[in-house]
Amino acid sequence: MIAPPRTIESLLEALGAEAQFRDGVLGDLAEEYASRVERDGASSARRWYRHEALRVAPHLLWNWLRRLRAHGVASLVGVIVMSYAALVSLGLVSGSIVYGVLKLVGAPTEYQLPWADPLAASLLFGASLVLGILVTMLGGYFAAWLGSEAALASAIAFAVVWSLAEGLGMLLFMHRFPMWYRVSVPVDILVGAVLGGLIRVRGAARRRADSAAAG
Amino acid sequence: MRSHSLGTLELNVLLAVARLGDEAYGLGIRRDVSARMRHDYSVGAVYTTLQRLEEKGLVSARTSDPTPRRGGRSRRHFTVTASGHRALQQAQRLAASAWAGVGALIQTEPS
Repeated sequence: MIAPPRTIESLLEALGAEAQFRDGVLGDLAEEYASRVERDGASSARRWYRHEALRVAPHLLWNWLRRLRAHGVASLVGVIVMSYAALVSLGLVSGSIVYGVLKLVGAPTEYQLPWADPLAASLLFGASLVLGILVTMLGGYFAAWLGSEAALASAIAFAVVWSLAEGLGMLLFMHRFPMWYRVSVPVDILVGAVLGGLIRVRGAARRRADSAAAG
Repeated sequence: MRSHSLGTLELNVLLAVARLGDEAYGLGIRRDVSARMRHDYSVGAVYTTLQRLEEKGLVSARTSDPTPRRGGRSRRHFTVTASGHRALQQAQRLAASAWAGVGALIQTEPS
């Protein structure tokens, strides 16, 4: 049996489309992939599959969105709120630890943003974006874990909602921050959270494949 | 009788389902439509269209047994329903009416 690239297939499965729709699409992709491996070779078939997966993904995501009913929406909102709450809790705990350590070693615990020094401010904002992408990856990972039936779709929904809310806040209220930073923050969140979701789905697929191989 | 307005892709997918008979499943339909329209449609686009046609009651679907070649997944075979046949007849009438009197004119280049 010629199996299509497992990781990509798992990512497509995690977009939460209805079972019949998903199986029809993924089954056709698998069948066409097998024909292409026999005709054009594995490398060319893999390239085709990756390209086709990108074209198919919006349709699977749209199918998931269309079939969201009241219960599905409530559960998705729950996933988004719980993921955000988990991150805020984590931030509070880690902030308290840092504060406690600073206090313990007698270091100053209050800082002002270096507005007067543009280079220092830019460096600080850059560092916050790097840290931000790590935090948002964690958020995306949480969302994918909580919304396991449509793991990647949940992470994408979380990324979009958080990014829009943060982007709006940045544009409306954070006038003192440079424009490049105000635009970068929502992009940072979007990319980080989707990456986190991808990592979660990929890891789950690998674990499933390993346990299937072991069993 | 309910009338259905069909988009270009919907009409071509419905025609492919009618044409292919027992072989009317996603991949076959995609190949047929892509070849005739000279455009490489994605599997997703064809399935989204098929789903819309199913919701309009113009096609019905049945599921075959899973096969290893499809990664253990089933094929969904589609058939044109009575409403689908009527929609095709209506589309043909409309197309014939739209083309009436133009056939000879487009054979020659305008001067």
